[in-house]
Amino acid sequence: MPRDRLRELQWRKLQVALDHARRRSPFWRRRIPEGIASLEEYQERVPVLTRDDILAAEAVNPPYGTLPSCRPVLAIRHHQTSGTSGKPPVRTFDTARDWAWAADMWCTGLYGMGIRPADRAAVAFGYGLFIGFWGLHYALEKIGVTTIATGSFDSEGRVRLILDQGITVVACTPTYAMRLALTANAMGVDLARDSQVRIVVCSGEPRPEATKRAIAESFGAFVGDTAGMTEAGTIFMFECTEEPGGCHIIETDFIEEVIDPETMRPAEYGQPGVRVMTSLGREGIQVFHYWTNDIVIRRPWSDCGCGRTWDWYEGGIRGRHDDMRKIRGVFFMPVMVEDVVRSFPEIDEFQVVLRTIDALDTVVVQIEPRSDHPAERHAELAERLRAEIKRQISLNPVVEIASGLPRFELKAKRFRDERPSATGATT
Amino acid sequence: MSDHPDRGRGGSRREPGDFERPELTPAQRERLRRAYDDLMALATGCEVASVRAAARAGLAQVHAALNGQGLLYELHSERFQDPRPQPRRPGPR
Repeated sequence: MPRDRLRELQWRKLQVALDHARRRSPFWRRRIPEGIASLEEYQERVPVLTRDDILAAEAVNPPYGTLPSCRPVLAIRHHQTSGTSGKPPVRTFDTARDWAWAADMWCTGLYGMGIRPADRAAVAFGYGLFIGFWGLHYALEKIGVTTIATGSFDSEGRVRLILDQGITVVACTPTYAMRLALTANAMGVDLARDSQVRIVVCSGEPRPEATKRAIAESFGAFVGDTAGMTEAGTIFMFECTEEPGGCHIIETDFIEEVIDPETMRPAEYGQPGVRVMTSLGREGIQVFHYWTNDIVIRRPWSDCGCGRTWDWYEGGIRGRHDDMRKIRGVFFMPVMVEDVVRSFPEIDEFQVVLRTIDALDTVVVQIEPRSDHPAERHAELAERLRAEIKRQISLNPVVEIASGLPRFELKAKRFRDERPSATGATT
Repeated sequence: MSDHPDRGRGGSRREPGDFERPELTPAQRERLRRAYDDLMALATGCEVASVRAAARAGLAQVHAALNGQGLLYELHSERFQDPRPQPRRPGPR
């Protein structure tokens, strides 16, 4: 679809969505001005929505408060965020229509990665309140893929299932894909050699290039990135098989703006900024002009050769705006450390901690070497990692050898800010 | 070692510019719209619970297809009214 027709389609849908919201949602009736005449005017006049705005609206009359644009009795599903940030969870629901749309967005992404009805998929996900891979599961079924829910399996059980069931698609977080590969290795299984996996679908966390390469090598498979959020109810971007180095935005159903957080003006192509999202998909819980805190770099559609006319985000989600710190004059995000750590196959798990040491803000990287890495070489490994981080991100970290670091299946939390000035931020 | 021809390549890699773009014929578009209208009539007006439920589920899927083709975008569920009230909670015996 040419870009001008895409804009027309977005505007047509947006008008219907705004009208629905103004008529049916007390929350949106107050925030959406009357008489919006164009997309540009919409972007100018509708205020930015924050997570705190959503939480405040939901707190009025829990669980959904003043936000819904449909009677909640029409819901067929309820989901909510984990609430691990210390704040209350964001709660959301889907009508049957909304859920079919949510699965359709996943279908768009999965089909674009090359998943077809003949595939056999294992979904490594806990199937709880968190929306996570629920939509993916329904999308796989809709495409016609044989879909196996492995919610109750441990990692060894999943590796065995991958082999025994001839699994061709694995879906999980990038962190967990790494864990599966390590578990397989410990079991004497080389997934790249012994399994039939050809596609690994990753979602749920920022995923640096080094992590993608490590997963691709471990599984001998194409690694496709996606990202979604509970507030949207589904994914809004996916990585196509051309692998341009990022993810296409599903622009028929999402209007995405990238805003420079310093100037609050639109960022140019190629410049980092915060993603501000409008979902055109849902009728129950609608989201307009949502400040996601995701840092992205937008590229024009023509920079990818796949033929889609949808712009894309270089490197997917680069990090969280609220995780950005200035350390000794250098902009720092924890994901930058991950990109370096993942190029060290000797390292099993890690944590990044910001501490004040001798009155200086300091990045402390705690690493847990793989169990087969000799203890007498730990110090040398730490020194090599320190030098590489300094070379790549211009910060001289303290690298500590640790044991018993936490492992994650969903939403890895590898960052702590322990400086006295910090507010206890973790991710 | 798998002998799958697309192993490790995403399964559908093509040359740039060779992206597959099949489109609905006018007759298929008409059928899809008609299916939506028929299901909507059952979803909103049928008194048989099992048929009404199936029609609502089917309606959601057909709407996703119409939306995906840029043919129809509706926020329709508020049209649903259950024709019979929810049964009362049984009291203690």
